[in-house]
Amino acid sequence: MNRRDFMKMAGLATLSAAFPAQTLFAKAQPHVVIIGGGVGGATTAKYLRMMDKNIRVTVIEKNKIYIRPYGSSEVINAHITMKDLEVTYDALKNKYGIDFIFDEATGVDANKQTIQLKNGSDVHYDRLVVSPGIKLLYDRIEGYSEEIANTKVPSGWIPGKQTQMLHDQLKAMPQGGTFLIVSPPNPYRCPPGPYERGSLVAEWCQTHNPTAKVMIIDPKDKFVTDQSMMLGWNRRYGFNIPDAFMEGMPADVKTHSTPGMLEWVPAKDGGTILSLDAENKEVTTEGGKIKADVINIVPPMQAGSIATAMGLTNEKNFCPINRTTFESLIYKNIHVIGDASIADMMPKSGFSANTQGKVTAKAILDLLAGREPGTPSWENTCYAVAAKDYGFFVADVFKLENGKITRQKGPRYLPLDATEAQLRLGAVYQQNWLRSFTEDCFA
Amino acid sequence: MTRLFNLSLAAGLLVSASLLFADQSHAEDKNTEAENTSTTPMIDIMAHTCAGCHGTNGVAGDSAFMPLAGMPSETFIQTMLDFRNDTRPSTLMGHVAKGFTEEDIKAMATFFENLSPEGKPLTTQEGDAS
Repeated sequence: MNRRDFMKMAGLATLSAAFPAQTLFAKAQPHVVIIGGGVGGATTAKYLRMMDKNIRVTVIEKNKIYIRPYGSSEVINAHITMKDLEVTYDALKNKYGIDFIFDEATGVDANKQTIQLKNGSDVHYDRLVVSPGIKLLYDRIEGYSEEIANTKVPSGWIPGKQTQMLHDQLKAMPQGGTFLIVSPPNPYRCPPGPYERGSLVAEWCQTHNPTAKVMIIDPKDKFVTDQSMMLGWNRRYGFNIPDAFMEGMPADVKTHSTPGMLEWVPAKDGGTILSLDAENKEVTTEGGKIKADVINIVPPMQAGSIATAMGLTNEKNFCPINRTTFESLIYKNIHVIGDASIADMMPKSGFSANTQGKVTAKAILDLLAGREPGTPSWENTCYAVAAKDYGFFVADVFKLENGKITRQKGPRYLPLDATEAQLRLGAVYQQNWLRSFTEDCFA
Repeated sequence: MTRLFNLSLAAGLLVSASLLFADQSHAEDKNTEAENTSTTPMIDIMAHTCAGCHGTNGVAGDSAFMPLAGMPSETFIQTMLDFRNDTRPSTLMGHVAKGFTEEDIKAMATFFENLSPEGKPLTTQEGDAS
């Protein structure tokens, strides 16, 4: 045993003394290894250690600083900066005693239960949790690629340089220019996200580029929170609500004689993208060609690369799992959570990954102690805004029914006759949620 | 990425590789049976679904959401039932409350009542890993 290993053990011994062991495991101190330090991985790590101090948890993560994707569109309209998206792992390390290895996993031996790291070392696990997020499939759109996304036509769906680039391009857009958002096909991360992004860009343009146009083209004919969003667009950006979405709309809905700043083109009206000409800033859709000054493409997506490399994905490129434990249906002792998992009715969202992480943490503790895992429940809330002071949501509780993760019956959206005060409160809660949620995952 | 992976997974497979996808529905059926045998709800996990807004263990920090840690159980139960019956107006909580049974609500009420306002357990239940 070298000195470093020894120090590590000494540290753990101290922690064990401070927090007496609560569970008798078959093995003295089982080791749970988590690949991916995003929302799902961080929450699992934190709740494992919170629920049982007699467990060793190691997170393998590429980046020392996490850049949160939820709320990251607010960089584009300069409501916040890239710096505001940064989250450290300090609390998970210092407050919860979680080990971090900042490296990449390059291989796994499911029989020996070891992970190989890029640095050449092996890590043994009793249970492995894979929380890899999504991989963006730039190449699925003719003329688009990761290289073009990094240089000319950003996606910004995984936040980073492309997010900042979108803000810079919006700022540099000529007066009266067009900002085009290409929405992705299902399933994708953050269902209301592309439409909220359109709102934020339109709100920015009202002040800085009032003759600009914001266009969202879509390979779908509806989206999550569509009626709430369209009502906000009607009230704020002169959007005319299509007949198909008029049911239940309040009396103040206007028919605007001149089309407003924001336009949405669904699949049935030719909104599906066919190809991109990045050089000429032109997109070809089923409905014809669209020229724009800024193009923002949210490409189709699948489970994060590592899930595919580990053989955890099925023919649809997402990961089939046991709904009680999130253990892979393909490999024993490996759990997959978050956007990469097939979780039936649960959307691919941070909130979903967070409650899945908690269910998985508890199930792992039960399995390691030889107990049968109990019946889980989950929740999801996606807050969305149509403007800084205009917020709403989709909220669901999920339980197991006939072996599937099933949404519980009841209303899901803020009622369309919500008052201005309720909409304002929705926006206040959205901003507060960004803080409280980050704390629940990372602090 | 695939290139980099040095896979030696065969012994860890749940089903033989050739049957992997053909056998998927069967594997899921078996899985369903296993899931249905377990009927003890994980109350702490249910209560932890509140944490995304109300903070870990119901400690709300500096956010605008109602702190739940240390809330008397009758307050929690009455509030949730009022949300559920729409007798108390809300933005979102009416929706969430409708997803839980009265039993769920009572169990979560006990969970939060047994925590100090700082989120520390007031009583230790033997044999409970939470």
